[in-house]
Amino acid sequence: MTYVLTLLILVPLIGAVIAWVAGTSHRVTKLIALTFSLVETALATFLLLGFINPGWGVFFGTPTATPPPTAGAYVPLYYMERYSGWSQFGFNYIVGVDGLSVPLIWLTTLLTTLAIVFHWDQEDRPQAFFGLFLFLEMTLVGVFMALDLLLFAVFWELVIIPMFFLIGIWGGPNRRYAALKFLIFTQVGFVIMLLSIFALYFNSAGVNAAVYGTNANTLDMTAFLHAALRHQTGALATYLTVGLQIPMFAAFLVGFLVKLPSFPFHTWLPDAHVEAPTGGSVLLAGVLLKMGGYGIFRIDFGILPDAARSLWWVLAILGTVSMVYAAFVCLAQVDLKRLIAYSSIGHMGFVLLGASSLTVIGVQGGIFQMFNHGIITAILFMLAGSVKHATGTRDIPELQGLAKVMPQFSLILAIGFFASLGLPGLNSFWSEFMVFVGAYGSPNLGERSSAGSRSGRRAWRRSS
Amino acid sequence: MIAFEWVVWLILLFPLAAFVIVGLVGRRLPEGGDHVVVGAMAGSFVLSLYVFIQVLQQGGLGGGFAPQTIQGYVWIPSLLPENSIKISLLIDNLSALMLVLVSFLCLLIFVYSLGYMHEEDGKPRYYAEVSLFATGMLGTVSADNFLQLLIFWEIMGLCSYLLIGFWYSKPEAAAAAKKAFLVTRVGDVLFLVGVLVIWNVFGTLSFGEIQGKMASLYPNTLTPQLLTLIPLLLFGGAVGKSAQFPLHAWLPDAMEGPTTVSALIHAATMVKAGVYLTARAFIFLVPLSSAVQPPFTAILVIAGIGGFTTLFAATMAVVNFDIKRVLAFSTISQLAYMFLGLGAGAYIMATEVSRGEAVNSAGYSAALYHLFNHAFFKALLFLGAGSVIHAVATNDMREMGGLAKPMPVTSRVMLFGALALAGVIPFSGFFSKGEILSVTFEAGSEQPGFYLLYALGVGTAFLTAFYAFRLWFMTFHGEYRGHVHPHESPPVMTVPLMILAGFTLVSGLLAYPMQGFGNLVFFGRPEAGFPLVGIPVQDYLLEGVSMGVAVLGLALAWAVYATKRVPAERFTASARALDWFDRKVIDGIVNGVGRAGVVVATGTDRFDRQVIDGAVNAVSLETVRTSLRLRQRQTGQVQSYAWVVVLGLVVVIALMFGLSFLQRWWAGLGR
Repeated sequence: MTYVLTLLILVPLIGAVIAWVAGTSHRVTKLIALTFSLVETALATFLLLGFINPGWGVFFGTPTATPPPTAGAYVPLYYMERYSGWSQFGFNYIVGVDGLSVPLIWLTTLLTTLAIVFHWDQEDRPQAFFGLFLFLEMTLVGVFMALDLLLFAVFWELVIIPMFFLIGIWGGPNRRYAALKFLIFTQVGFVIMLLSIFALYFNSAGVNAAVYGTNANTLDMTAFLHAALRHQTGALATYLTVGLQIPMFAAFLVGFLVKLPSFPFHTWLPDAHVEAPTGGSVLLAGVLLKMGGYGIFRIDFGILPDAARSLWWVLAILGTVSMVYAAFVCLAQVDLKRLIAYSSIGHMGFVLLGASSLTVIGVQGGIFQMFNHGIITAILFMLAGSVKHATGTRDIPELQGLAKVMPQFSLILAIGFFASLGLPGLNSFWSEFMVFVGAYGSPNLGERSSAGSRSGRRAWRRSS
Repeated sequence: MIAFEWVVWLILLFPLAAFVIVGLVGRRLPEGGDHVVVGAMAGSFVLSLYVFIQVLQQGGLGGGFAPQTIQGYVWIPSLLPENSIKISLLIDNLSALMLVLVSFLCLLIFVYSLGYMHEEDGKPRYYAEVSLFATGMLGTVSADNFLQLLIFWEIMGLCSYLLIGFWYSKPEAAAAAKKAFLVTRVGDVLFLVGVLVIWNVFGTLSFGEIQGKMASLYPNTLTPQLLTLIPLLLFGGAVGKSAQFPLHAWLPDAMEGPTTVSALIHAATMVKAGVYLTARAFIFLVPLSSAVQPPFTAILVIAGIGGFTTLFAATMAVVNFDIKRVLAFSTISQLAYMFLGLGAGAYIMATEVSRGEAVNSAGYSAALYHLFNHAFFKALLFLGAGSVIHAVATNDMREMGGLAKPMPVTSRVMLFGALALAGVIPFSGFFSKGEILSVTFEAGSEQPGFYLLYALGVGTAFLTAFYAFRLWFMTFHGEYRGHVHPHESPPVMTVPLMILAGFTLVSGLLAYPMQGFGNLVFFGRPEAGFPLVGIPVQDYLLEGVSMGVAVLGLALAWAVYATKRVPAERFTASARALDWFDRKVIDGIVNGVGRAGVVVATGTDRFDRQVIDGAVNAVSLETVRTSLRLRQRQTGQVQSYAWVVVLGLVVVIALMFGLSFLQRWWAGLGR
């Protein structure tokens, strides 16, 4: 048993407290924040390396894949930790990571460090500012590794608090409106999601018994993940019925779609981005949006796969509409930050489309897209922040002729936008290509989308 | 077998390394790092030549060299090993020849740039971008699969965008760059969709593997409709990149870039990538297996667009006065010849396949032969034009004239180029253009429509000679009409010109030692003979016709622009009408689509702000209003509170019954 995951949660939390309490001067505060974020990034990098190649992760000991509770079950989770002291209430402290969460955790730590460096000249209450950043990092890392529904819900809720204050205190002129809008939107989504968590709890005894041999209600996600997988492979006869899964799926989906965000729940995003300080925008677009995608893949697909198979079309339609709709709205934007915000909505549409394909390559593409978008959008928001800092405006028409005076800025901006448009060879091309391949070859979409792909469906059937 | 496989990778890595070095530290290098770039390109050229010689030594002539895939990196691993997406290089006769051609032209034009760009600011930027472009083009012609081709293809598109906008502070240049990028992107999207369809049908994107799987997948997985759709989608990409009708509007505008860029990217190399792609798409057009029905529709579309564009663009070239725009329209027209040749050749081959006969790849070879020749003479014409522009500081031919005296070298090499473009024996254009026309005529016996395309081609040959010499006479003959004192360019510019001028003669005659170009570059099986096939008498007649109309065009240009015996207006009136059509209607459609996009975008934005966000704000506003109204009910009277308590009790009881009923109903539904 290693403690790296718990450590990943504790380091930024301790850092946040120390930065807040012991930040005697601005300089000390910044150094504390930077140190803790660097330590966290180093830990996450080791985690990532260990995930890519177990030999490289020796720093933490060998990865502990979940011991299959009963023969025949296999959910590949690396570095899992579990403390079951409170399980009489159905609550366990379980954290674990796999290929879905490790890149997102690494992205979180990287972007937090960069955001702290970017705000090096922050003079307005830096103790609270950097403390909130580290706290935000803790909650985000927690969301991506919590494997207990209650723990997941707690971290999910905690994310809102630092972001609310970052926008509301250090934001632009319209910050109160934006912060409140962000809060209410995500809160409503969460409350709807919470219904499903209760529903899962009250239907969990049978699942728990099948996996862990305890006939008691539980919030343990691993029980559901194992059982769902075994049900899919036919090893487990009874699981949550489709009639039960569908409303749960839908309620979870609302929470995730608000976070993602997808059309028509997206209007909080441009406002929040425009008002948020640069580092807040970076984390908001770079990581917070990924919570929605992560939830879809982990919970909607992992726990409720039968519902996913009948409701895939909701994702497909919303994803496609988001892409096209956001692209058009983008064209009409004048504010650089609003433009990037809408482009984020479009890029998240790719995640939905990849997920809806229900093919291996499509889902992989969707996950990959989340990571790539995190990188690109961080670049773009930082550039938007620095252009505002350098020129005092973000209005695109006023920014003409920047290449002469800011050549390096222009070069990086060009790279960022070319990556964003998916220029072949740059990162988001690969994920979007995988999404397209998955969607085109999908047994769901191919059937209906074009006559030409009828044969593609046949080929898919043959290969599966 | 290539002796040292890594040599092929080095061909790509040299210019890439130059790009990285110049891009990072070019500002600190003397002269913006130009010698790094030229040196890297020279290395690339030597290695390409080495690879090409190896191919020849191993029986490249006559089909003795087996195409070799140089395995590289697995980019996207897949559950099935044969389905993973790899980055690997392909060396066959065509790609080896293209590597030599591209690296040689890049080298010459880089050397020329040493002189031409000498006084420019932003030299590091220029040299970094052209090096990246060279990487893109070399990668395109050595790609082993369609996806990799698309990647390098887009790298070229990116560099084209950046280099057209080299003088980005000029609004026209910025607009032209944007237009070029967006218009070609329309084609690129079709190309991408084509790649997806191929992936879905074949499970692989490599040229060789697709060809191998063709017969086994037809007609169940690979339906005849798909077999038509795939080459058309790929051709869509080619139409954008090679500026064919209706996506041609970007190329004349792209002349806003430096002339070296026009010569390299928009004449000699990048625009040829579309032809190269279509040649690679021959595996779909001509399946080489009697079990597969070839897609005649796609072939006819390719040949038809080629035939139409060639005449259409030639008429544009006749009426323009900007020397670079004339050459740009000429490029479109000549590229269209290549598509016509590919289409006609594919039609003949496809009929032969469906009859079970041995295929004759004359059209394929002729088109690529023209690609080869055109690269030299069009680069020469552009660089010559650059030399002229350098001397007189204008693009307008009306302000030139009489430059033969102050610029003897330039005027002579331009004469070579014009003769090659016009297709006068023994210059290179004669052989390849004549062969394309012969093949088109031959295809007419299978499909009468090709006779019409042949007529268009012959008409174009006439116009080509006319505008080529109109350009030459207006520039070098008569009295000088400009204001700047003209002077000959420095040797660093004229020596590349002279080398290229030599090639306008040599590249056509190169087919002799090879026993015909079709012996080196072919599809299916090689064809010995000069220039391509063992020529029947009919072909001599056809070659004579194309030569004859070229001489007629030349004579007319002489009469109109040199001796001025015939007024120009008489011949250019109809062309002017077409030019108007092109500027107002075609360009109008392109701009209209752009404007429509803006209108839709503005509308969507308003919808987003007012309807979607409006609904959000309305909900919150209504919540506040309702709570304000409810506050008034808090009167403090105990009687009214008691009534509310009773009412609440009733509601709760009703809800309990209702919910338990609902739960029972739901449980029943789930079962």
